[in-house]
Amino acid sequence: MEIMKEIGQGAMTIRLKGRLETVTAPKLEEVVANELEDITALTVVMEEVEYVSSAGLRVLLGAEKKMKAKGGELTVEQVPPAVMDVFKITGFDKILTLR
Amino acid sequence: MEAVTDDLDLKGSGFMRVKHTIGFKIMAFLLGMVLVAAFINGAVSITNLKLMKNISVKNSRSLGGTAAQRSEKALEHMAKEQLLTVSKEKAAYIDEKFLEVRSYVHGIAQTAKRIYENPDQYPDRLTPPPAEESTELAAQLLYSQRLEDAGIKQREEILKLGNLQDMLVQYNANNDMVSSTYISTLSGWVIQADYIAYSKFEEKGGAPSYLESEDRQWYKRALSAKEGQYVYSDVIEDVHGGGSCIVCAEPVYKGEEVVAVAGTGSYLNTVNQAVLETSVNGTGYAFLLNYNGQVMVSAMTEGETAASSDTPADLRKSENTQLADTAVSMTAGFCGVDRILLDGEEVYIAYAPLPTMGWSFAAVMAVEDVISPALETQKHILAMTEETAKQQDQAIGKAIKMITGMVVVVILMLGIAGVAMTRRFTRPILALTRDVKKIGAGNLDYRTNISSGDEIEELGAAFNAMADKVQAYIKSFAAATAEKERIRTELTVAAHLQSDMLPAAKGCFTQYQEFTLAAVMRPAKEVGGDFYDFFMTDEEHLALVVADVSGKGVPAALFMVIAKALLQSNIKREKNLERAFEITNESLCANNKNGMFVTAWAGILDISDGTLTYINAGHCHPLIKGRDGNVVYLTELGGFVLAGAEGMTYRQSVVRLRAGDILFQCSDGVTEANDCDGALYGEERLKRILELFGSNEPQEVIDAVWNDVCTFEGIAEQFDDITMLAVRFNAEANKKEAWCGTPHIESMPDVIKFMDDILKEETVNKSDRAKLLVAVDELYSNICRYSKASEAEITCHVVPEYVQIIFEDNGVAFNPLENDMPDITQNAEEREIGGLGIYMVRTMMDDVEYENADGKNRLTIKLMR
Repeated sequence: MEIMKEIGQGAMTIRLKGRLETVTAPKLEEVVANELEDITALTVVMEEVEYVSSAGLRVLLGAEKKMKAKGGELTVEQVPPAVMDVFKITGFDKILTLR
Repeated sequence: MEAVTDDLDLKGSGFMRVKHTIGFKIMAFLLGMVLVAAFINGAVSITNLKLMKNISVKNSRSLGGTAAQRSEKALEHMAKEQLLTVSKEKAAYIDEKFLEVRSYVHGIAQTAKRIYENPDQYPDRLTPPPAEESTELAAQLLYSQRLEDAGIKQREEILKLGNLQDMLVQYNANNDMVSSTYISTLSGWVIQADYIAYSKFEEKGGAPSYLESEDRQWYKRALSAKEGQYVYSDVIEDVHGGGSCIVCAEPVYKGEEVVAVAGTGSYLNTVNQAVLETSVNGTGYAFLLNYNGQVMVSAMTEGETAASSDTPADLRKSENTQLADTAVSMTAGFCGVDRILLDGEEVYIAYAPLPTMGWSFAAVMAVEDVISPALETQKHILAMTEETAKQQDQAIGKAIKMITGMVVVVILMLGIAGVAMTRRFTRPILALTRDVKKIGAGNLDYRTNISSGDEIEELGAAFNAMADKVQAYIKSFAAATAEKERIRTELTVAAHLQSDMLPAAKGCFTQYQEFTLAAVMRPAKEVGGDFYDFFMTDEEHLALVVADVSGKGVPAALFMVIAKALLQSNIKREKNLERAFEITNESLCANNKNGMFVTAWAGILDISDGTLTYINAGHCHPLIKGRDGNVVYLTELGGFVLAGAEGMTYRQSVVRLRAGDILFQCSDGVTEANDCDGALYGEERLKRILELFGSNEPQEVIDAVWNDVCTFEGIAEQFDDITMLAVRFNAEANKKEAWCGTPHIESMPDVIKFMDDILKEETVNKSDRAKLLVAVDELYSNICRYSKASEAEITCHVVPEYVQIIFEDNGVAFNPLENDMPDITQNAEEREIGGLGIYMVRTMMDDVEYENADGKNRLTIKLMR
């Protein structure tokens, strides 16, 4: 999985490409854990994600909790149908701010 | 007739039950016709009778009126005639009486005149006094008082006149009507003859009573009359007491001087009687009118025409103008009949003159009396008319009854006659029916025997002839059938043998999941020249054969057996199609004296990878229907037909079947099937039906083509053998693709790639692939984290319908399906991520099963495609 980051004033856009699953999720988790100190608006663009497993969901949930905790906001953008199915099955479509 | 049918008891013999017998129909028709005819006849008759009655009554009524009118006129005319006749007769009668009397007077006057003029010629003759107490007719000499006073006895004058006394007596005696005859001289002498002579002498004791002629009306009137002229007195009461009387008198001239008066007193009794007796047909009356219009004699005692003792009124001056007019006519001496109102009643009055007297006789009759017979007649005719009408009504009633009676009688007679007739007619029919039913029930030896001498007998004979023919035909048919049956049985056995030679597709090769196969051969005749064959040449190679021997029937079947056996043994032995075909061709040619040949197609499918090697020796092109529904013909030809020529070589072609592809091969019985119009089924239609048909199940594809061919052929007979064979290659799906290794999270990318490659290879779509890979990720990571297994195997099966992945590991027994399902409605803060993976797998997959067997956990997931 590739992670492309664009950082602006207190905002970060992460563009993901590939699969967000057991093996690849830790890479995103690392970004969430270490690089969001000054970020209040996090945007994850899912356009090129093939699928998301529960490991990926866990990272997204972590990011959401973290952003909420410091008054920031996580926005997930351009969710492909396959990923959207997973979101709906798991109730993540209600938890995450989708756009 | 029903009873007869029941007696036969031939239920189920195929004969219908009779609803209406012929007899019933004839009877119904006859009775119906009679009823209709009778009704029409009766209606017409009664209508005519009524019409006649009406005309008759009308005519009778008018006849009554006319008759009455006519008879009234006739009666009137007749009555008038009669009345007039009576009047004339009576008038003539009465006049004659008066004339007679007058002739007496005239005779007396003439004789007296002769005596006066020639006294010398007559002797003196005394007139003696009447005998005492005599009531005989006698002449007597009477005289005036002045003569006695003068003392004059019988002078010469009276002596000479005494010669008249016999004449006077004579005249009186001759006529009843005459009461007295006399001659009275101016000198005062009177010689009178009557029956009361003596009475005049009684008073004076032998001397006569004085007679003063000067006082008498007749005398006075006669003095003023001319010679030969006569006069009448008024009606006076007779001095002799003989009733009313009238005197006719005539002067006797001597030279220019009147010397005496001759007279005759006449009783009017005779005249009266004549008048009073007058009647016409018992009615009516008469009266006499004098020249002064006065009624002289009348049968009426009161009323306008009554006779009066006083001076009667002049009717000419009557207030009744009609009567006055009539009186004028009468006094004028006319004869006629008038219709006038008299005494307030309409009368006919007929009158005729009495010329002698200048009087007129009238007969009167009431009009009512005249026409009453006519009215009677009219009444009678009308009564008769009513009576006639009544009688005619009765006659009509009688006619209706008679017609009704006749109809009933005719119907009864007809009914009886009809029943008898129809029985006579239908008896042979019933007999024939019974006999035919017997024959129809299967007793073919039975023959009908009808001798009615008409068409029925002819029909019976025809039935017998037919029964003969049927019997003969059945016998020959039975023989032919037996022969045919024998051949057919043999052919059936042969067909069984042939079909037994062909391997049964159903239930065959179930151990091979790599392919699914179906085949069918339907011969046009009992045995055919088509065949198919399939067999494994080794564990991985499936050989397929579809062939068609030239010709059909037993010869083709025999050649087919040889061809099939050769092809199978050669393919099995050589494991090379080209070689096998060449050897088979040589063998077949060597024993082919009949010039038969075989078109054949054979293929060998490598079930491990779907590689199909095939040779088409003059046979139909096979088709491949891809799992995507695309259909293509394999048009490569590998060589000439088998047994066609020696030394032929064959070249094979290769095609790769993908999983789910179907190979369909048939004989030309399919593509060359004919419909009723002779059109060919054709390769295009075959291709289209394969394209359109949804299923990829070989048996279903074959059935679909078969149904379509049957639809196409319609009622046309199957012309050629039809053979079909279909094989679906399932190969790679059934070849288990497995990843094995020690479960460790680091090997996750390998596992994912392994699976992804398989799924891509099997063209599983992107969405399904994502779901399956998520599941592999979740389940494999679980095994890695929790199972503590040293070995894990992940196997993937892909078939057209579904994808199945089996996870096996030798770790601790653990059923992840027993875990609680996570609460997916919790918000971000509350959510725990544990258990979500299993939940996702169970939700996304169509089927998830866990089992623990042989110390292994086995989790199977299945996703329908």
